[in-house]
Amino acid sequence: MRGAALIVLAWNQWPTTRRCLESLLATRPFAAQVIVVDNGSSDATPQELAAFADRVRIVTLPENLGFVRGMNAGIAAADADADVVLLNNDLVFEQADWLERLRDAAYAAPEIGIVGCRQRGPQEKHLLYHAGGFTEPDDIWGQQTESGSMERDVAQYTSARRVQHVAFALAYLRRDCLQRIGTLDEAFHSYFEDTDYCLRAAAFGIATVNAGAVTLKHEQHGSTQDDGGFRQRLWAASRATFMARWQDKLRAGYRGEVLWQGTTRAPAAHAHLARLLVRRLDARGLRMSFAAVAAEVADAQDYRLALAARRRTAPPVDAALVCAAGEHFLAARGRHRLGLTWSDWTQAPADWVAGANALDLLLVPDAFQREAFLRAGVRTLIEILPLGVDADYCHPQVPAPRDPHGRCVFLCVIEDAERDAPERVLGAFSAAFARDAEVFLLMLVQPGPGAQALAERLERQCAGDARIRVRGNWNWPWHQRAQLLRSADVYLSARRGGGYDPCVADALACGLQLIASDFGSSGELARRHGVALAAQPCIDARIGLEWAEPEFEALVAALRATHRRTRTVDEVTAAARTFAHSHSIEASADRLVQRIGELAALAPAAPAPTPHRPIDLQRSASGQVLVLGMHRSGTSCVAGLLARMGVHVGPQRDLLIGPDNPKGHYESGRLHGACLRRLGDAGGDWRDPPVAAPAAAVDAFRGAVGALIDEFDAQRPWLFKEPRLCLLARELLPLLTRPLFVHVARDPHKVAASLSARDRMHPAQALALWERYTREAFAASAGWPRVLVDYDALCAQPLAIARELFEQLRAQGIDGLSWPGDADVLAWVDAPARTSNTPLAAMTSAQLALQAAIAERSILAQHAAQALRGAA
Amino acid sequence: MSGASPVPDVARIDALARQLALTPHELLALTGVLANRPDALLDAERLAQALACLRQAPQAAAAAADLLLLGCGAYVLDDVDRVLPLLWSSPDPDRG
Repeated sequence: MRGAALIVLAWNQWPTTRRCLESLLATRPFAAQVIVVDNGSSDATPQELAAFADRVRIVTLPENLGFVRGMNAGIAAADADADVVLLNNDLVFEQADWLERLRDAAYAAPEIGIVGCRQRGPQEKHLLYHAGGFTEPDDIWGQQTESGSMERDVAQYTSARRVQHVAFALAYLRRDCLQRIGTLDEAFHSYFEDTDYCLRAAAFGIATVNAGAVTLKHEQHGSTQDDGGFRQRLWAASRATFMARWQDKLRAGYRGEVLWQGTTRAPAAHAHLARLLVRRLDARGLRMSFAAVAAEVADAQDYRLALAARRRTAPPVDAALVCAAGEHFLAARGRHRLGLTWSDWTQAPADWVAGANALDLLLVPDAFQREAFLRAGVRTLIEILPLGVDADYCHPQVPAPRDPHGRCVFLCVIEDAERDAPERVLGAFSAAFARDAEVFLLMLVQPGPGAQALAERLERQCAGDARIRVRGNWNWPWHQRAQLLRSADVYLSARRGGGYDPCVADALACGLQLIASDFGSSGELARRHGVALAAQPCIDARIGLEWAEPEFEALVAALRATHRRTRTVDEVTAAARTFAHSHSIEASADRLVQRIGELAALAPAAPAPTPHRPIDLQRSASGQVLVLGMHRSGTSCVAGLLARMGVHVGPQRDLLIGPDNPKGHYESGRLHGACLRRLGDAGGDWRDPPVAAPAAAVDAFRGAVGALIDEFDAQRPWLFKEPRLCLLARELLPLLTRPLFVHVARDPHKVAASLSARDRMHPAQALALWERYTREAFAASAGWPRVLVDYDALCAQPLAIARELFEQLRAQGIDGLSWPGDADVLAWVDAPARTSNTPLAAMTSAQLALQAAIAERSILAQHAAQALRGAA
Repeated sequence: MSGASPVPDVARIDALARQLALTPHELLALTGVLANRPDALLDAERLAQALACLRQAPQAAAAAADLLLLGCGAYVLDDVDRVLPLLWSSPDPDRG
């Protein structure tokens, strides 16, 4: 079985290395060899390390060759087919399944080659040191998180996501990536070699991913602390090398200059968008600068936003985007001018109109806002830019300081006393619940002019009511906003004003219930995902425009209804995930970049390199063959044929024989059992395949099948055949050595007819199952060597198709095959009992497209995502 | 320290501003200007100079006042999991 070489580089600091090794070995990494490279240590390391010799392989270097050459020595010592994992000796392994989760991420797509993880500090309240980083050409200073800040660990970035680079304190390198890119560049001694490697890989279409499911403790610089400036000198030298190689290339990646004119503090919603979008636009190839539309001491919580504020650009820039109230539109300072805003009223203020009409494009978050600006007489082009949520920060697993009394907590954030109607909320809350009800209202007044006075006024209104707290003069770190939301059960936005409230979508992504006015930008979200409060039109006396007052009784009823409602954790998680998926800030940023590019006629983004595929390395197949096909598709026939060509199928006593296939399944009973358990552990079976892949189920499956691979490897070529592998083959990729996939396809109507007859399955269900298995199978093998056998054609022309298969296997470099003889082939591939292909159920358009892609064999050229979504 | 300094109420600030022919925001900016040289004697002449400066740059004065009015809470970040437990347990965490 192929595995991974875990390479720990050590230089002195034996206690640090010992802690690393002991914690690493305690995780009992599966299918892994630990290699310790002693980089010329002069302390107790060589002697102490000897005690580990029975558990690790030791590579001793005569002197300290630096991080890069030391790691390269470890890579050279690894098994030639193994993946490698580079590990600093100052890591502490507190997560038992860290390696398996890295494997999951590494093999999620064929083009992924490099995987890092979340690294957090040793503090009691952990700081997040790293979660995938980036480097800007301005300063060539590697940032370790998207915000550039060392944030508290609040479960941000816990999903796998593509990043510019990962810190090679931990890096999982797939073997096919190593073979494509080579080892670390020895132009670097230490530092910047990781960013260099990831950028070089990206140029070959190899993706770098940060595996959010893995978090390790990193006691940084364990090997270079107290070094009299040695580390700093290394860093400076490597930075200079990196700068000479990459700075101009990184600069050339920008498509144009864009000025964001807005705010970083107040109003909070505009500042929120500056933080969310400036970094994303910059990462998408727009060189962002920032100018405040009003006096402010800039907020510095986001690195790219702060950098944008420092950048000096020669006016006019390609495009200016004013994200502020409409009164600032006339200040737009770009060749092309965009506005991004909203109003609180059914009609935008009159003094915004001239500025709006001076724009080339006005972006608003929803149809309500579009109407408001049209009604005001704005004639410039108005488009809707849906504003999504940042699911990397806002999700139900964010840890929160919950009310210790277990009360139902309502959260209300106030910024403008007139707009947000806090007195009305307090009154409704008092009216809705008895004094002894297990409820709590947390009302936060955002910092701003008058905030403290407002908070004090509200406190007086609810004085003596222990169920209510009002807090002003508090500014929480932006990255902790989901913690604040997750501390509550219900987000309450009973505003008169109809403007965009980012907390509404963030709360839904965090799994909170929502109460919001059925008016303005929050109205639709409340109607679809929460409780929408009936609201009556009224006039904002300050400006003479119409907004809406939520009905008091409706608010009281909504408070009571949400208090009564109970939801399971699974329901909350599923709803939040679905919402976040369909309301993503990444989609907002993509759309915004596209529109700016079109409007300002920016140079198109440089074409991305063709995604890397392991098959492009043209390595010979090792003789491990996976036969993939839906149940009742002829996989047993093809497996039997392969067996006659000399492919090992395992011991005879282990092979399944059943009444539905009296000639034999050519299927290992132990493999079959492992597949059954894997699906069952995830709460499903072959008829109802689970969507979730619980870590424990995956790990048990890998363990069981890994043992079989070891056994079968004694006799290559060999095959695994089990229809459930269509769903599960991807999980085995880390253990397989240059595998070859043999897909077996059959007319889906015949598959459905066979399943209907054997299992009494409804034909439509059978077709849906065929589609699921087939898509997942082709997605799993995308990018890897694979062939396709048409079972119907095999039955019609046994010799021709069998010979074609035989030649394909040989062309892939599989040794040890022999042609079984024509008579043997004809005797084996006798036509099955005639199965009707008369449609028992109509196929969907997606199923028809999939069927056509298989018939045309164009499916073999599709990548994994295409196969899954069926883009034919 | 044996207690907080008395905080002038809104009416008193208004009265003082009126006496100096300033808005309350301008008065706030004025205090910033005067605080710039805490070692210098505050006399009528210096007050007049500061007032003149303020009136020559009304936009800057207004911007300065806006920044100050955000309050220190706008500039000091306080962790959610430090503040919230105080709110759960105490009616007024600032005094509790």
